[in-house]
Amino acid sequence: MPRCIVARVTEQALFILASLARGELHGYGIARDVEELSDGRVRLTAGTLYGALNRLSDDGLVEPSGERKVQGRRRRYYRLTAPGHAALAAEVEQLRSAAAALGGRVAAARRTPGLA
Amino acid sequence: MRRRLLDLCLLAYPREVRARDREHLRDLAMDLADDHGTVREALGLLRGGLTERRRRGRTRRAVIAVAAGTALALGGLTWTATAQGGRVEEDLFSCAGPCADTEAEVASRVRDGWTCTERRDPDAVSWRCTRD
Repeated sequence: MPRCIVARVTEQALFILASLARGELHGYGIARDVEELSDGRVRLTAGTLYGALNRLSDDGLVEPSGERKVQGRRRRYYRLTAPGHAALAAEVEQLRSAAAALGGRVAAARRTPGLA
Repeated sequence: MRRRLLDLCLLAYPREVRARDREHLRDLAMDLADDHGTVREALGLLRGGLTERRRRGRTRRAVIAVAAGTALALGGLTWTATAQGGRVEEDLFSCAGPCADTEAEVASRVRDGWTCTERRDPDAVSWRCTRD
């Protein structure tokens, strides 16, 4: 049983979950997709990615889906679990509502400059 | 040399992790090192290994001992690499459109023990082949 599907996840973990939302992917593919998805802001090393995937696996949010060898290099594939999909959706919804609240505050401040 | 450096950094991970995932981790680090450089990946493995040890409840003393040992070995290896500078061979290939000849060349490199990483862009394919 996964610990908690709405557990707060780190930014790196969130990007990893989002990267797997389209389907199964190997570690290197995840790292490249995360870099692209974050506009180059999140660049994962093998050590960071491995740790994050292990933690997400322990939480039941992702699971390994097999291994293949490509040009002599071993690649392990991962996929999102149902709780992983739910956690991603919940996290994105939370970000969306936070962005809406903050955006509203910024817009109000622009309309009334100088008011405390 | 690069493989040896990454193997050395993998010593930062607990023995049971190395027994299970050593090759997988090293191959992933080699893939990413092709894009972002070996030093970054080496440091990432060190940090990841020490974090993994802490996560598994290793004592602070054991973590410090492993960190110090690995850093010493890493220093030695870096010094050796610098002294032997230029021993790594690297060839770049790219093509757009029919790529049969280039793919055959890359395949022959792989057979000869080179490590080749493929990158597919919308209008071209490129390979970076290296050999220690």
